[in-house]
Amino acid sequence: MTADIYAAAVRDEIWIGGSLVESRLSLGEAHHVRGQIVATDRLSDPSLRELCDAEAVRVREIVREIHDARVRIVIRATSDEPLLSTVGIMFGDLSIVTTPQFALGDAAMLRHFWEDGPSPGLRPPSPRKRGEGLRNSTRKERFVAPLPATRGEGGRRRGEGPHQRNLVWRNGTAAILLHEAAGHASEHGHAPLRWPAWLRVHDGAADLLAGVSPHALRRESFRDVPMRRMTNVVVEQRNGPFAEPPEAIEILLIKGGSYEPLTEMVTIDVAVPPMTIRASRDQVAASLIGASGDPIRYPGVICSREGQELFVGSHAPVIVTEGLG
Amino acid sequence: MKEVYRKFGRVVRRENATLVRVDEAGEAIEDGGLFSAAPIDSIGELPVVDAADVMAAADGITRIIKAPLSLERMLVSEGAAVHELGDRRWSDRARRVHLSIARAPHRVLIDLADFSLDRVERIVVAFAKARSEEPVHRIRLSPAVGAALLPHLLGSVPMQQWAAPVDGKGEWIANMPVRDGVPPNWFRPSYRARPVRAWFHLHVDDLAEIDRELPEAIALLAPIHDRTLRVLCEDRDRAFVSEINVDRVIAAKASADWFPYAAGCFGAAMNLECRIA
Repeated sequence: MTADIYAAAVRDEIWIGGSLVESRLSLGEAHHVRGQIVATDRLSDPSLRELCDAEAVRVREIVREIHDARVRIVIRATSDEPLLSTVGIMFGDLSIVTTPQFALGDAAMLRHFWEDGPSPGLRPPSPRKRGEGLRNSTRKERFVAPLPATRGEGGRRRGEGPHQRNLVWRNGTAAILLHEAAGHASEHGHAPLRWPAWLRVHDGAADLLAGVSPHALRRESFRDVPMRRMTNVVVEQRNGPFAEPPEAIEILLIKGGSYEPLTEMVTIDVAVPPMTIRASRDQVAASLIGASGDPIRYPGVICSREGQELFVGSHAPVIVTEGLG
Repeated sequence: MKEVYRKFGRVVRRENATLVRVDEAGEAIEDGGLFSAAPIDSIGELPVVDAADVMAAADGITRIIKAPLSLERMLVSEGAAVHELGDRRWSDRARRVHLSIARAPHRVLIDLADFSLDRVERIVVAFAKARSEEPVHRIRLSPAVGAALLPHLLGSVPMQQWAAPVDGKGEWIANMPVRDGVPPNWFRPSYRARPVRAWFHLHVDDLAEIDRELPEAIALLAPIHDRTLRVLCEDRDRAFVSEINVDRVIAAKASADWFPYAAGCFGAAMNLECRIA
């Protein structure tokens, strides 16, 4: 298969209560010819479909155990990326997207949040039955905030102004903050900022803090025009300062995020505890006051740009920000 | 009951600078609670879609947009499809334009179902000279902006489903008042999408005389959220930006233009009373 031909076999299934309710198969090729894309839903290479179908059997076996949630599995066998399987899990209005190897652990984590009620992040968790998802993330470092966060007010406490608020981004959630503030900014060619010297944010070999655009040209389907998009965001810290804030709100699970390229504003909708953070990327860069440990895997995100939804891996250490609101 | 739907289609799309041609044939099956969709091997004769009109429209749009404006995103497409469901067989052809034109910190969003550039030109001229953000208490909506608002006014403003050939299951779309309850027709924008009940071709009932002296909102600056609109306005030779919450529709008049919002909306000039956002 040459670089001028893209081919894909994609299986997309939705399971509710252990029953299959929607199943979609997409097969197709895109031929790049003199600045044009000629696409058709025919696959000349049957191996992609065989790979996709075999993987679907494997993933169905794994997710069969998650019978109390809405589950979406997407298997992508494409000519330009390794086989990619993702599992979306939804309990009520809480959802994550993860990979099959972590699906059961992440489902247990999400179920725990769901059963804990609207602000479970503000008190210690009960022990998890399956612990892969957040194994390195919270435990001893967990701070128990005294007052619940509320949507709109962001959990601000009496007497505390918006510029003093400390947030501790656990469970790899800071990867989403930097996906928006550094990753999308680099995709749009925005100028690099003055980031903390201890911070590193890479997508493969691309240094996102230096404004280097992701190297990979990705597309959602054979019908789409490929764009430079993130694949796997890894945030690291090298000798970053870290002091547990005396009072802080812990960010445990993200609902969604966005980057507005015209204003360079970042918005993060936090699922646990429920709150919304809105700041310019300059403010995000200035807010990063410390970090601790190795990158922790966040389950993952579905990144949508120009209508094309792609899975992006996400990893970040525990990070502390000050003044984001 | 098992229901099998097939679609054979061809689309030519200009996406920014890239021309994309897509041929597809697929089948969707609803069997009890299960919806499944997949490509099919047998393919009928696909309709002809010429790229020349798509290219000409896209090139025309590109020429219109000049600094300080920039074309953030452009989709210009023409598609034709043949549909089958049971013994019903029908075909359709559609043109679509989606534009995102930027001038930081604002962007104008334009959605059209034809390739005429008049509306685009008018919006571009106004956007280039818009300087300020101003509150408005009463405003006139252009037919295009009113069309975008119609799906958000279901149940609160009298409107009709306009008669037209077939829905996503090949059934006739009858003219009837839009009312509370389940719409009679099915919307199926793609064979990969599970069909959903929807009101088609919304057509607002005439209500009072349109006051044409009011400032006119001529384009959206963001998708409508609930009843809040960010709009580009013209007031004689001035242009400005405004954010409005719809309090009350005080006048409305439908036009013959059709816009690709929801399952289709006819143009709807309106006068609104607004709460300041």
